[in-house]
Amino acid sequence: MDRIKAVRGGFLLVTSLAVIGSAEAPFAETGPSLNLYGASGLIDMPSGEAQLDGNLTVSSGHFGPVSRTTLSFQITPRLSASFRFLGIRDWNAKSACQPDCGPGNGVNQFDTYYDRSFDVRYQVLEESRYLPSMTIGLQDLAGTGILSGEYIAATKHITPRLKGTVGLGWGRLGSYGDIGSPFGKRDPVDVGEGGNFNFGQWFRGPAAPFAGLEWQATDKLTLKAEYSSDDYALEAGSRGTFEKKNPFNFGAEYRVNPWVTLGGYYMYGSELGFAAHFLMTPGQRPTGAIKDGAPDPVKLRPSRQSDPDAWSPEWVTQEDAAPIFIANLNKRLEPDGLMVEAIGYSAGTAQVRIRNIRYDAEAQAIGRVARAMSHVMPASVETFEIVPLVNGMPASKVTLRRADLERLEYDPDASRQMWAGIAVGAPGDRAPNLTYDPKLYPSFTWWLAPYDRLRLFDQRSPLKMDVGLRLSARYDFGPGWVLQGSATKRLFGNLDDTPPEIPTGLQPVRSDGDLYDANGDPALESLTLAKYAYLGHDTYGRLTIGYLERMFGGVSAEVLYKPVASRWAVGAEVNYVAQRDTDGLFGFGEYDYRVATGHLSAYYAFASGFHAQLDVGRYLAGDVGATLSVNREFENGWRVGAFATKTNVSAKDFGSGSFDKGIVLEVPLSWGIGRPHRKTFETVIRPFGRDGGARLNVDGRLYGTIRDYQESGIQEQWGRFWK
Amino acid sequence: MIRTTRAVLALAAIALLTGCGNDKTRSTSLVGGVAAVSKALVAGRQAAGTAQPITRQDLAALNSPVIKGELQAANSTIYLVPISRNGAVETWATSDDLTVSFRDGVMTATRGFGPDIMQAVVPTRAQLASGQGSHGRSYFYLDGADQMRRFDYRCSMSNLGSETITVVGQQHSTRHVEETCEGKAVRFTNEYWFEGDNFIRKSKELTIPEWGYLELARVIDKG
Repeated sequence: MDRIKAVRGGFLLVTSLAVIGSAEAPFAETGPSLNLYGASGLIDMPSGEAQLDGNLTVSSGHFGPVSRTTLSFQITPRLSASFRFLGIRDWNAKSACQPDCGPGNGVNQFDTYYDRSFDVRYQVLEESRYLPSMTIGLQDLAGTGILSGEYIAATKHITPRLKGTVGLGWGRLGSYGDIGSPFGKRDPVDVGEGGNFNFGQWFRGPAAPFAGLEWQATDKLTLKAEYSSDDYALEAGSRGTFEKKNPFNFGAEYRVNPWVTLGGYYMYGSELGFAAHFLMTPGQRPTGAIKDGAPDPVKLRPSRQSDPDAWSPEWVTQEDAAPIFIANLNKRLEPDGLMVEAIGYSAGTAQVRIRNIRYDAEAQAIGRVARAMSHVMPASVETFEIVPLVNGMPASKVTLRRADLERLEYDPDASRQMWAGIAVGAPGDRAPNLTYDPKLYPSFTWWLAPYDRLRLFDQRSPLKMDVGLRLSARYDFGPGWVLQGSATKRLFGNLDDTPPEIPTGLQPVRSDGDLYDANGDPALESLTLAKYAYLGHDTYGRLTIGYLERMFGGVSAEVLYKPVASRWAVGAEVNYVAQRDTDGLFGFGEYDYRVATGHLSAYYAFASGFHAQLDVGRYLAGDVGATLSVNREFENGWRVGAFATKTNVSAKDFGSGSFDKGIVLEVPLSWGIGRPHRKTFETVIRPFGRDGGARLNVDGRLYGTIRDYQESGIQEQWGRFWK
Repeated sequence: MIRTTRAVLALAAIALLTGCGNDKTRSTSLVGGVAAVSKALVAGRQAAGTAQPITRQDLAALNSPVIKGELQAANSTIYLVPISRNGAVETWATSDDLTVSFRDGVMTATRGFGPDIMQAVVPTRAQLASGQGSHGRSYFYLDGADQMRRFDYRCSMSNLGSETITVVGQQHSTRHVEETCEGKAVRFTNEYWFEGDNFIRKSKELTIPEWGYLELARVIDKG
């Protein structure tokens, strides 16, 4: 059926784009477009539009010496944020240090100026018949502020294919053709170590109008023209990186497919520009529904009248039934990447404890196990209890009636009624006579795969990278007992070129990461012995000992209280660790640094798909403070979030960025390949990774481990139960 | 020889990129994907070469009722045999894990195709066979967020008269009826060819709008 793939992409048009499309305002005949800042807008100017809720865009915009690479996320239908890397070439075109701008010349020592910036926008008005869409935005609202500008912009469709934008900008967006300073003077920003909000500057200083038109010539081609209120005083003026001749920009954009748009521009009367915008829809897999082999249909029991023997409960007294059941279940489940670890039963109820190594949707794992039980369990078993195990810990207990399974399989309302018929409860006590499959433990798995490690923006270069091989192995010698480790060997790369050391006022718990990159080859990343356990009363525990991560080894203990159906959870973690040697081997002598670190954590899942976590405690450098993380989580496993940590470290001791913060993206592999898979890729982008507010990276933290298999995790993808 | 070396190198490269080991939680279906692609290549070559078309005799040798299915959008032919019955619903399967379920002969669910009909409200065989009147239809699909999406249609029947059709080399005199359905954004037409006592010899039924129709012909009636 491989040929079916060819048309599968088309399904999106029906099930997702049509659905998404229906959420668009009825007056927005053309979609919202992006500018060279990767924000909703025209060419260099913003607009009043917002992107579709939940969309993530990566934009690469270039003109003359200016390059911007931006990640933008539409956090809610009205709120969006962007994170951007900026590069300006020919930075020293006019510098006094020419022709030899080497080290020791401060900001002038590099020919290209690099910076990071962060924007937030809020759409205050959606477009309606008579009113435009209107957005208030803060561009580069923290830090050094080279791109800082605020705006209010309004966009209205004039005809179904033509829309006009007018706006008023401040900061750099008010630097050309201003109309005065309506809200007073703009004081110069006191940057300090950067990373702080420049409240005092917002909407101050000269304000200048900007405007533009966007015409959708065909379904693929859009033409744009604008009058820019950005004077490029620094780039075109004092730095002389390019020549700005007039405030007009023109462009044409071509939509290659729903996910890729390319643009070409003529900027400021002198420069050519180019942009590529990549759209991702975290909420919707590009491939639409998951493709997976059909399940075995539910097996019906014979009627009691026709076959009374089949219904006899006598089988319960039969010895050695458990291993036979387990073997028969696993024969059916193995192709699905599911495993029954243990079974316990009475005449009317059977409980299986399962391990799911394949399904991203926990509901589908449960659906497959339930069907297998309908084939294997004697007719007298009316109640199925399915207990998903993670690292040997029972995460919940799903109870369902076998009769529902038989009755609802082809019901037009199967999904909803089945959900109504099941109960997701606490794991509870072990079933009576619970018997483990003796063949499952001990088990040994290993994996050899390539890895890559990136370093963005050290002081020498915007990107350095190593590629190598990672060998991981795991030995499960009983339920919840795990010995695992991983080691890496670099094949090639340039991470051994370490940047000059930046003085830190703290123990270099993270800032020496580059030394670990350079010296640890080969390196033992981790080697740990862990015990995971369900402690009863909705409480889970973890104890991990060994080389916990690349930079620290020691002992880590955690408890988590997470009722199965609750939106909240609380946990505590304590660690006593020592900093490892940079050579990636077994020693701790190089730093002779020991620290007790730990946190109290509270978690809350909002109904809207937002998720918050607050950690309060002591960090690796001995600093004390709190981390707040907020994530938007999509049903299919995508996660887009941000975090910030404030500790009692002064901005000066922390260094660049003043405090720790960052962006997290988690992408499930199943989203990309359209087939079931549990692997996800997590990326953390820290604009300034320093030593304050640093947490231990220990594997198997309980909350993320348990939650997928609890009520909300199962419900989110319940439609997959019958898949 | 060179070709073999190249193949070995290519396999090594794939192993390197996708990783190897005995840990099933990590193996991506990229590996499966490569296998599937090679299978498709082999199949393609066979089709281009001397492979014989599947005959009625081949199918009769299965000793089971057989439905021949054709998914035109995917240019793909499948053969289905019945594997289970639950009340009025009978489920038929291919050897490669695709299933199609029929409620009293009318397609009501699919599995294994990817974008499957998860559940559906379908008319009865009698309603279709009458060739007149109107009824509702609903399809439920999972979207890319695993959420159930419901698509409702209003359908009306019309009789197209008698027609002789050929199903894998055998002729059948049938009554051809058409079911035209209209929804919010989509309009489609299913067709049915009834034989004798309203037995659905052949049908052409919508899977999902973007895929179009699955053509289903009952080739072998008894196993």
